[in-house]
Amino acid sequence: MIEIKNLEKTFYIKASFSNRKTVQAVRHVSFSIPSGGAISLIGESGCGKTTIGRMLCGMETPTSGSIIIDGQDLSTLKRKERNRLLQKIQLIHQDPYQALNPTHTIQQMLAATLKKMARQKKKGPEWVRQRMDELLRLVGLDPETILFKYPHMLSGGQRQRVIIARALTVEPDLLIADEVVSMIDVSLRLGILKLLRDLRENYNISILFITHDIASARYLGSNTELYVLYKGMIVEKGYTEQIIRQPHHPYTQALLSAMPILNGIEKPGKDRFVLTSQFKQSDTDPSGCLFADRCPFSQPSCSEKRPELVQDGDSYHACFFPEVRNVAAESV
Amino acid sequence: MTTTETAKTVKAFKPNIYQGHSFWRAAWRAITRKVSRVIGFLIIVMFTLMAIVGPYLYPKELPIDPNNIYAPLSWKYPLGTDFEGTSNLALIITGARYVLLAAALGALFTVIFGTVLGLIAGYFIGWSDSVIMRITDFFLTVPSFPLLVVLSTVWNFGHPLAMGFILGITSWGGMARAVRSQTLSLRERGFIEAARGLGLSPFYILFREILPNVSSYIGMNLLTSITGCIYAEVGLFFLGVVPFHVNNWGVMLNMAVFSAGAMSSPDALPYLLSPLLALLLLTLGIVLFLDAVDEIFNPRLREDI
Repeated sequence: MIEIKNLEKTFYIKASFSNRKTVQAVRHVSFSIPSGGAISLIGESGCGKTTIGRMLCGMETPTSGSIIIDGQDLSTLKRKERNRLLQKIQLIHQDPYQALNPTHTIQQMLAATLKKMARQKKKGPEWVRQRMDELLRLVGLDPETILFKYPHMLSGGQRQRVIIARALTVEPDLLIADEVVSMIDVSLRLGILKLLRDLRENYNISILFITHDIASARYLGSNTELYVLYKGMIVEKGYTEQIIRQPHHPYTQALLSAMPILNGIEKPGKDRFVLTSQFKQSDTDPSGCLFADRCPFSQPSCSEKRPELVQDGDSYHACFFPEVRNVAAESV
Repeated sequence: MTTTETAKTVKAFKPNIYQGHSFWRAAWRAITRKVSRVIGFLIIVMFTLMAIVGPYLYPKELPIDPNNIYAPLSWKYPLGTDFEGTSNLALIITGARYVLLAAALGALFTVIFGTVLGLIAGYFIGWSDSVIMRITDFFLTVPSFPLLVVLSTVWNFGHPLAMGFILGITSWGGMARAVRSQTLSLRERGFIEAARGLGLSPFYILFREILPNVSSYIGMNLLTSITGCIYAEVGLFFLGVVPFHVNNWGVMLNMAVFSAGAMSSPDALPYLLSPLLALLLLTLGIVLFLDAVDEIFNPRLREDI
């Protein structure tokens, strides 16, 4: 069980000697991932989804708020204890071409952490070998062909599987999948998504799925919660299927509208709209709704006060004028 | 044909077992890929053998031949003779050990200091980086050759280890800066972040994850600094600022120019040119061999499957 409360992150950028700019990357984000559960964070580039992932695995320090793993608040723990807990959260990088050391064979990569685990568990080298085979088979690779290869001999999909196998060596509770399929050949994407779902269903590993593509979030299995982020704020949350069917927030609708449709088999929803203005990272914080300047449905009152995340039936959304619009593709 | 018959004709798919390749075999393949590399390798091997067995081939006191002073090139004296009638070839061969050992040790010290300090500064950044880089700047700005001249007056350079240490300590600065800058870019790469996330120790990350990625650069530097060190020490001997304990190439140059008058009398020219030839040949060998180093250390270039 991993819980996040009021997480905030502000980046300071030194613009000049005396002047420094701030970028609010994450604003008051709270959620919890039960063990074996899955959450997807979605939003466009720069919305803070990767920053949340990096804070969770200890690569960034939150400006405020707390990360609670199994009831222990990370910020109150000593460094050694914190590192031990953080090992239970493993990040799978977006770019499988960067995340494997080009000078190591697959065997060396897996052995590095497995030897450490073997020492902790007081097991011999035989255990390391066995576990290596087991993990590679689990992620759908053939140990005999792959063990002594270097990363440059593998395809993007194989690399991503090796990265997942390496993350599994430390027996994590949570995998953070940060845009795992965006750099992989289209034909291999589903295989990776299915692997993540299998890990979740068979080994009770929770998944935090970070993506900009709602469609791939649907492959994670049932009762996946979807959090839509805009400028570091949660603007809508609910179960994935439900949000896709009944999006309330205009930003969620914009994301759904941007999904390509299969012409001839599907037709666009009748309320489909396309955002024309670009996402801007402004250093002045507007007092009103963050999305008001781009929202095609914004009213003058939107820029006066910022909407809170309120419950509405089964879902939560942060909008003063929520309205279900039919933007997802429908079959002909 | 029925389906069962077709199924029989299809071979069951069996993936090839891939066992990898050994580092030494790959290195050998990289060397033999081009003729120039083989020549470079042979020259280096020849000089190495010369340094190891050379002094045992001749008596401790090289024979002198008063009838053959400054003899021209002949079968008996392939490189002529010196002012005492000693064979120049014998002088080159027996003199190789000190020169090459000191140069190899000098290059080794340069690479070890430079690599370790560069890795630490680049990986840990912060105050350790500041401290190490200020020390590096200090060593970079101190002119090394005059310093060597000054040091040679107070230090006994009789043993190659002392010479190598001094050569190494004056020349690691550039190496440390280069390794640091490469480490700075590597530490932001995904696989280093992943290693940190997996809880691997900083020692492992530095020497097992980052070091292999800069190893081809280090290997090339090791070879080029061998030539640099040879020039520096031969220069010291040539200038005569270091006492002559043993016969070596630098001493030969010094004697040829300052005692034998090789600059004015053509008779003594073989005495001057033979150590120069040895230096030239060794440099050539190293330059030709350098080409193979990148291929040896970089697995992406070792395409042999």
